[in-house]
Amino acid sequence: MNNKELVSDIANHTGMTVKEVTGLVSATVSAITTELADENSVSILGFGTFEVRKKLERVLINPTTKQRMLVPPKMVVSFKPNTSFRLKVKN
Amino acid sequence: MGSKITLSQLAKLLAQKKNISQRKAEAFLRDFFEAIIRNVSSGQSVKITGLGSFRLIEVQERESVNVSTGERIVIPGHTKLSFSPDGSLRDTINKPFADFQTVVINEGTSLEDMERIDQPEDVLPSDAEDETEDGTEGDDAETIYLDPEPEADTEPEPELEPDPIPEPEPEPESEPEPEPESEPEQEPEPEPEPVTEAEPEPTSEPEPLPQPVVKIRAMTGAETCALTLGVLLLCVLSYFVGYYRLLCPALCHSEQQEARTEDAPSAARGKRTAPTFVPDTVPAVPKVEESGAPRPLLDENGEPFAVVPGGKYRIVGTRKTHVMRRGDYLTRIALREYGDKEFARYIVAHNGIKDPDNVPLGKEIRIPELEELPAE
Repeated sequence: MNNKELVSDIANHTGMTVKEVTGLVSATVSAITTELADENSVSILGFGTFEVRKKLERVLINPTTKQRMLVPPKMVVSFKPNTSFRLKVKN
Repeated sequence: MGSKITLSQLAKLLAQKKNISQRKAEAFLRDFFEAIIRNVSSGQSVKITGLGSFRLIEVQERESVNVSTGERIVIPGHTKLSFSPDGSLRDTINKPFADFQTVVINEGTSLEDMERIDQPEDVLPSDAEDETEDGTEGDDAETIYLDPEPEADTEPEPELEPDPIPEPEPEPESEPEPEPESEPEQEPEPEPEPVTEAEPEPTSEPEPLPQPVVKIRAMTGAETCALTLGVLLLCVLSYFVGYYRLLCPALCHSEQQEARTEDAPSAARGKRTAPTFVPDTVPAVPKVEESGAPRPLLDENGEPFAVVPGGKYRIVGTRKTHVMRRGDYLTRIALREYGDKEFARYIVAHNGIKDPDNVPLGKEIRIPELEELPAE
């Protein structure tokens, strides 16, 4: 299911127009993105938490060439689903 | 930075962006996330542009051990949610570290330096090496800086040699006093020690100083290690030399006293005979007067005042007496009386205190009157 299908699904359920929903979805996504870029975590009740994690640099060895690589540190987004969401998904 | 944004806060932001009421924004957000949950739960993966995709992952059943009972249990297979962020979101988040790239490490590069540094900013191994080098240089500077202190401490040491030497030198036969004789007798024992101990300092001192200047760039770990060790050794050595000096007066004095009691008759004889010889020797060696000056001064018991080896002053009398109280230190008394705690040596010598660190309470000590010795 891609963005378009989700938008139409939401529109069906709420009775809003597709155009409205598209704008709101993109605004929501950009709001979440700016908050995450500020290293804030976004936690939504009943859904889960988005947060930014720092990954340290590490040495990686290519098993075939035995070449060692230094992987730089980076920031990644992680999402941890809420317990209720997780249980719903489990079965 | 690091704060937690909740649904209502997110709704506020959304309301500001789209110019809608907060209630409406909040209602939309609930619908939005509910739709995601609904679709994901039905087994579909949901992809949201700019955010990422939610996907379900099958987890195979596996065996495990109950930690508390040790029983073998089977964890049944289930599905779990996985979220992979969109490329654009990933890039936005990783912006601070976007410039870094994976580097191939050349063979023989030591990773020890790198692993010690937890700061993610120091990625390049060369950076790390620079840092450690800086660190050792700083260490060197510190240890070298420490040196002047022991040097200053041992500074009076050389005076110890010239002082006793002129005493016996100017015609020992003409001045058969026991003082100069007994002094050199015991002093040779302690004397060679400070000499040999003090000597390595000037010789070894210049060594570490030019070394860092010349080799600062080409210094390897072993060299810096050896250098630091050497400087440390020097510090320890100077410490002992300094400590020895503190002990020396008491040591010398006690030995002197013993010698005096043994040689009392001969000493008395020597003193009586001395004046007869003096007229002969004075014109010949005028120096005798200066170096031998402490000797003619006698205290109330008819004994000569103690001489502090290496001291710039001599004891010419008793200024006053002081009864030791709790909390009194010889150094503190010296500081009060003479303005320098170094003068405690004279008090120790004047009173024949064997253990300057442990003077019994209530002991009456005499504060000596000091006179500066003429410069030699």
